[in-house]
Amino acid sequence: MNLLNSPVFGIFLSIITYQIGLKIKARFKNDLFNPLLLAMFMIIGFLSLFHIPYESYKIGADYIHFFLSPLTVALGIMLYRQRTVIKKHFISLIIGITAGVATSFFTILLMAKAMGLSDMLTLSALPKSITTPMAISLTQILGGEEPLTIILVVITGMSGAFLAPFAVKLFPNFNAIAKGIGIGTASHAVGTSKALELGEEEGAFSSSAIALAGLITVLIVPFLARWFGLV
Amino acid sequence: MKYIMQLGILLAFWIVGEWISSLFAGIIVIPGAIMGMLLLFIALSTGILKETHIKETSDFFLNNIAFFFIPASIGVLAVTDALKGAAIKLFTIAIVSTFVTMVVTMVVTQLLTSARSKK
Repeated sequence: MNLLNSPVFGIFLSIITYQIGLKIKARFKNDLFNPLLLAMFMIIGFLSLFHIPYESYKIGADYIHFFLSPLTVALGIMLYRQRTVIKKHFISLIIGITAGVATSFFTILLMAKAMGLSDMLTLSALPKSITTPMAISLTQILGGEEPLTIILVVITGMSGAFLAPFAVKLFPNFNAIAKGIGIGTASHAVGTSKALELGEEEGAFSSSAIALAGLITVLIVPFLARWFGLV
Repeated sequence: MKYIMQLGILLAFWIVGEWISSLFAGIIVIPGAIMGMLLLFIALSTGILKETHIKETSDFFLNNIAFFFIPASIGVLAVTDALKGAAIKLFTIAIVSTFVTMVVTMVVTQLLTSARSKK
């Protein structure tokens, strides 16, 4: 079959499965039905069902993959749109988010050591709390496995959205800044969708935390990883 | 035409970002695309670039972000051996660490913002 050697196969399969994923998500309105994970399962299922090699899919998929870099650059506009919020609470945000980034690093490191995970798996997990494009950049620097990082980023987003209401209930007297920054730092854009349901202010702070948490993580985690002998 | 031009601007920031990152390569590793993102933020903040110059294409990317990760996620097929027996552990770590990170960030940010607003 000649079609399998053409880029159109991988591109078309990605588009179709993603559209089905979006439809399922819209139908059930539940965070468990993540369009990215659904598309991933459908594509893997399709390839193995028809014994199509991964390489055939990759020919077209690489064209989509290429756009990850300009997409990452475009995050700059997101940061720019949050500038007034960030400027107003700059010190609190930087320290609060850095505390979260450090907590994420140490909880992953300690649990991974306790469970006896390999360094490769640990490194793949370290970027999991930040937005996917930045997490991929970081995992490339650290030497983790890109697909594992992506899956863990998605799981983190889903668990963040699920756990956010419980975390908020623990601290009923906290202000919207603390709640929003906590959710955004721990679980990027997917958690932020939940923060928006809690309130407009929580949502705004949560989205301002996404790019900042990503930047702080990309800057300090490589040093921490080297310090603790992971790379 | 507008979309193509805006994509061109984003690509230009990526190229310059890669170049600047390579200058710092020995001191600190910053991915070129993230350097490009910082440069874009600086250009917007200083007014060198207007939001309207890149708005439509940027929003197209940001609104469809998950789609662009599908190809990379399929790469999991190549690492299934490494995942065997570790998947449950990794997922547990992801969930617990997310909750602890969320709570610690909330507490620290609350302490800082309430201390600062009392002054």
